[in-house]
Amino acid sequence: MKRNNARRVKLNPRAPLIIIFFMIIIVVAIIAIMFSVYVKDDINRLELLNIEFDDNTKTAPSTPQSGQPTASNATTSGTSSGGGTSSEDAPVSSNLPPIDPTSTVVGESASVEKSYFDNAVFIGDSISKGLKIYGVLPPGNVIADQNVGIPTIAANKPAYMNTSGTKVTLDQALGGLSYKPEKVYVMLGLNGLPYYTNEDHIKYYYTVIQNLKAKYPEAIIYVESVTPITAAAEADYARRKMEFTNKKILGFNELIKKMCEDEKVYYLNVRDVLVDDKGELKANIASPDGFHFIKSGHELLYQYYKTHTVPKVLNSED
Amino acid sequence: MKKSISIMIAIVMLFSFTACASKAKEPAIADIVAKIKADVTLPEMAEIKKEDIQFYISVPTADIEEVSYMMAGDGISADEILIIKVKDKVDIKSFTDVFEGRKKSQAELFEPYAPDEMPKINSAVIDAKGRYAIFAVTSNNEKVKKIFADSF
Repeated sequence: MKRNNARRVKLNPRAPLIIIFFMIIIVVAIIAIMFSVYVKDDINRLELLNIEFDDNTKTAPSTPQSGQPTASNATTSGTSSGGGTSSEDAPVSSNLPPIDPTSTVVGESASVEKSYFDNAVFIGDSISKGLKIYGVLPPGNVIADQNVGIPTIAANKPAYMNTSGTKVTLDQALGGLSYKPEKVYVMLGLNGLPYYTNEDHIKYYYTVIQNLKAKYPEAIIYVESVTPITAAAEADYARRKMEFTNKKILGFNELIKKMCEDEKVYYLNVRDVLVDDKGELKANIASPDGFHFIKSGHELLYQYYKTHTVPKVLNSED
Repeated sequence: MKKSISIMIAIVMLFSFTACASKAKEPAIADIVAKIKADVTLPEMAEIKKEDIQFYISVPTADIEEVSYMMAGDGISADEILIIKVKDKVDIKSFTDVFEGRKKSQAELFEPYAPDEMPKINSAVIDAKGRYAIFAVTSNNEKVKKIFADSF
């Protein structure tokens, strides 16, 4: 009996209420901690957004330069705006030689505005692909992919992977543009150089250019030189008993230049801005493979495009 | 009386635990990306803007609440990391299905061109957790997979 009495003393009827009271305090405390964590997360996200916004505001649009070749027909294409580069407003020489209206080699000109490229399409291979990935040009203005060769394009075979996982022809890719190209930039050739003689290779390029001229008779067509490679890349191909050298590239570029004269389209010697004094791809812009470029290489190309333009189509009757 | 008090305690405890469990952890994507960048060797990566994603992969961007998409731009590396947080009530599987398609098309692109990149692509990370999904092609996909899983 004494034991039972003692138990009754311990089982105070208020004890459960006290437990509930403490439980409520614990639950409230947990809720308060969780709330503070979420608030902190939100603040962090907002801070992050602010940093990104500040970064965007650093890329100022380029301003028009006096005396530049006009791009009066530059219209908004409906494509997304490009990321641009922080060096867009680089000063341009004001002592430029007068443009020879009969020459097919594009000389230096005053820098054009970014909008000049709104209705320009860049056709290329993996080299040109970096232009869109790095945000140098809007992706809607670049048709480029790995392993694209001149003979494939000449034969209008599927070459460019679309987002549905199907390869499409250049014609199909051009058909997907949301604007009518008024400038067409073409940079092809690097992928085929080890496998074709220059003389055979250039024949396919004539077909490509003739097809583009027929498709866009009113567009300015710029054919770009094949870009240089590093000495290491040359050595790598020499080990594999394949002829792929800067000398061969120079030879092919001479044929491209001749093709531009024959076809009355413009030759854009972008190689000039990418080579070092030994005639090799500059080490500070080269990808590890010695062919491609890192972002700074694509920015150099973009600056070259901006400062090497012509005002109009060179007609065959000129 | 004691019985009813015990039931009340049980109910209070049940509510407190369900309150904790019902809110799944929702990490900031930027934190996951930062961890991957810190622990995995990547080539020079470019940030793809949300409005430009459509040029690379057919995901319904209108269903995306938060996203980070990085990709190698050097023309020779297949590396890319896409992490998406979808809006409420969006089927995450529709995203992982697209990721499978992307893996296949990248393999088709790189196999004849840069076969050294194929191990990265073949072991690509395609995973989903709650409202989050990841597609990653890197030199250390196992590590990326673990970082993603450990973020929740």
